[in-house]
Amino acid sequence: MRGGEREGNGARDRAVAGEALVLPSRTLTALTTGALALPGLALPARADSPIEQASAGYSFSYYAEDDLEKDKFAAGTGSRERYEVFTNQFEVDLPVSRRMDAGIDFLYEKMSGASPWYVLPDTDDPTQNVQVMSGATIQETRYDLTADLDYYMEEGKDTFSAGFSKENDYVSVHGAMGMERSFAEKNTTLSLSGAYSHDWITPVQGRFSDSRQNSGEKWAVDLFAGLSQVLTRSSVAQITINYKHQGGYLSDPYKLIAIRNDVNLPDKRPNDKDQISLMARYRQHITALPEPFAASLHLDYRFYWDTWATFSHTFEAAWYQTVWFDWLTITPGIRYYSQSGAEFYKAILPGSATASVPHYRSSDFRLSPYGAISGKVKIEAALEDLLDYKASGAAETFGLSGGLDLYLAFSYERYISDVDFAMFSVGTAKEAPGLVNFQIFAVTLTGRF
Amino acid sequence: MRPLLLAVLLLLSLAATAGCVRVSPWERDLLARRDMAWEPEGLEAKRESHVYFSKEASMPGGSGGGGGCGCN
Amino acid sequence: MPLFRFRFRAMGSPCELQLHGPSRDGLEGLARRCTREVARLEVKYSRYREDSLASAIARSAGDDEGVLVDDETAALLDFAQTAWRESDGRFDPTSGVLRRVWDFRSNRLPDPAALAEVRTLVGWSKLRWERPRLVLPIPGMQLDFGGFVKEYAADRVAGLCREAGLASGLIDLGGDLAVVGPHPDGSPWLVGIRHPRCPDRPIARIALASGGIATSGDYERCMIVDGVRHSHLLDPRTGESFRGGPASVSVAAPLCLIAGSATTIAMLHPAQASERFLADLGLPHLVIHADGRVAGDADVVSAGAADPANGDPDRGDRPRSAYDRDEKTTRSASQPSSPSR
Repeated sequence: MRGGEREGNGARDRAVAGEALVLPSRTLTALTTGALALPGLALPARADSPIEQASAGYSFSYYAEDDLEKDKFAAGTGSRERYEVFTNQFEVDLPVSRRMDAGIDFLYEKMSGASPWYVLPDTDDPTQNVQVMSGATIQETRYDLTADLDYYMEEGKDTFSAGFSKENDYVSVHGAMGMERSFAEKNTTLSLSGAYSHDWITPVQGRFSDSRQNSGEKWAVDLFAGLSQVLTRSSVAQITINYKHQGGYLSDPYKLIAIRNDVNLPDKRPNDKDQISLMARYRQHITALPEPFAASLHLDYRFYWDTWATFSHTFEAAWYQTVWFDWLTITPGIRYYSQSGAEFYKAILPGSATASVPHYRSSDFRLSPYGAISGKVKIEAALEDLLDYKASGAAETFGLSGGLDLYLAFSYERYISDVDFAMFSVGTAKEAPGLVNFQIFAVTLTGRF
Repeated sequence: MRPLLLAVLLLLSLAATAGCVRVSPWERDLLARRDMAWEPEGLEAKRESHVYFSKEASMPGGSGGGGGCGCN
Repeated sequence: MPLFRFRFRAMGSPCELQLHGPSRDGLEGLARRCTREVARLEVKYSRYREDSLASAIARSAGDDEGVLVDDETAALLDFAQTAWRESDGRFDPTSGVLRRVWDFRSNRLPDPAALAEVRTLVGWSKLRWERPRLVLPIPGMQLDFGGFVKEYAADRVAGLCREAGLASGLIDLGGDLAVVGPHPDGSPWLVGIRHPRCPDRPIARIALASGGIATSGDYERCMIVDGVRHSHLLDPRTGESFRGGPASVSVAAPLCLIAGSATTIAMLHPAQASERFLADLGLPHLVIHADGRVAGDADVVSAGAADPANGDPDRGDRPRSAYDRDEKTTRSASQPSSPSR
């Protein structure tokens, strides 16, 4: 054997450098302590790791539904002014340990306006229906608090979350557990989770004059599986499936359905519902653009089906255009949605004396067949290293995070729904005069410390 | 159930193509960009999915279940 | 996995990234980030650039308000202060101004009066460092980050590669080396140490599986005036060129930054004391004395100038001749070890 081989073994046996140290001198300890305080020198773990910086976010949004059009409104019944919602959201995420991070989400929103009640034939034009609205006096407040915990390990993480949500007329508690595991050098990631929620509904009395159920409960089990796969250096795809079973009181206590011009029955839906959502998502980074430009394309498709015979298709596309390095991003996006109606949806029940009243019935426009198109645009600016110490103006350009990074985003969305937008011909506007159009303005401020 | 079958087929075909490519951890700089995340902005995504969920018949997909709501 | 080399120039030296990966294309993004990181530190700490932080600090000299520095600079200053204290003043970033009077190209010794004046600007104890505020009270004082920022850069780049998930690689910034991780088969990198008097010839090879290694020698620049050799190693305590120290010192440490400061301090010890200092420090080291004698406990794999490229010819995926090529351009270079099976 040549010497080379022996030496090779020897070199490996005597692991070199710092590893061989048994008793470091005082000087070495001092130097090492000093050096390890430098950013990026403490050897990072190669596992998935929790967030390293605390982050906090606040978002304010204003959601406003268009007034109901005059020709779809049952004059003299209530208010044409539909919902508007002011939403405040807070979010805090904190690193807890080398393996854990935790977060809290809080939402507080105030809603007001009139909501669709039931549908009547148009007395002026018998070929059309009109929407009867509630008065514009509904004032509601919703709170939602959710806490979550992520525990990280070599090849993935486990997540736990729990929370509750409360409105004037209902309370809901929910909890979820999930896991994420990566395979094949993290090219493939499998996610699984299960969630349970339980709602108690106590309809506000006196909101409408009609009799209605005093209270109800519903519960839901939601199972989720997802598989994401890195396709190339700049593209990744994911497919997910959600299965949800709901049981209990699933009707809407605030809605009625007209059987003749003068008789209204309460909304009544089956006591259970199975739902499946399949989703495919694709992300492609566009590498052809020179610095300081960059762009990413997002494509999402969702198929939905439930045992009330509703199915839907949703297509969503967004283009994340970075205008100046990562400081300014403009994101236009478009969404198309089309659903079939639930099998028991009727704007108005057939009013002949001989027809029997169907056991399940609803005039809720959300269960009607229609399509919706929405467009949105978002502008985000990154303001980095705001509180970092500066040595004259010069140091600004060398920023190494140590201060506060702020992201400020404005977004606007316009949503329009119409029977004619449905993918497959489903009828006329007569079927659902209550279809909603809305717009959302939002401003979001996120900070990392 | 047709949708379930479709999902399984999709999963299988994705897993099949998965065997062909392998992107090393240090080649993930582009994939790690914020604008390549499934949901780049958490607060907004949460609010958005709640709005669609309360105005449309479908339930959200793409993530594990969350809260309940009266949603009228 | 084959080895790919990315060469570039930065911080006044030839630099090289040696990374193990499936393809050159795949590693290019990472290599670009590495060179960008080195460039960032060069721009920030270069004393030759008007717009650098180092220049901004120098301009603040004499101002009682001083400057407020960022976290990274603060950590570097904390480290420098520790090294200064632990070395009894041998490691001292304020000593850069001595170069104003010591011009090694002129072949003339500095004017004693000028030297005495510059000496009043030297000494860490004269500055005030109260994180995050740094005050250089005397006009003309300077801070020279050049003595340790290249080592720090090597460590940071290695960290960046590890963070990106790279398991095997070696970062060489002009002879300051930091290991990303050993070769894919687990074997250590073999680092060639130059002979201080015949820089083309390796005198030894040191095995390095993790951490970093730095070498300091008196061969880089010197002048001979009246038959006396004055090396470029200036002693911050006296302002004079240091004499009687070793010809070259190499130290391996958990971080290149630590290795680099250890070599700087060791070079400013008389030959025997230098060996003692390194032994007490407890880091693997190699001291080459002026008379050619080699001492130290570093993991020397092959001493002398034995055929360096005696790797297994079957290992086609590693360029066998790299050792020869590198040895001529850098003062220490690396070479994959021979496989052990």
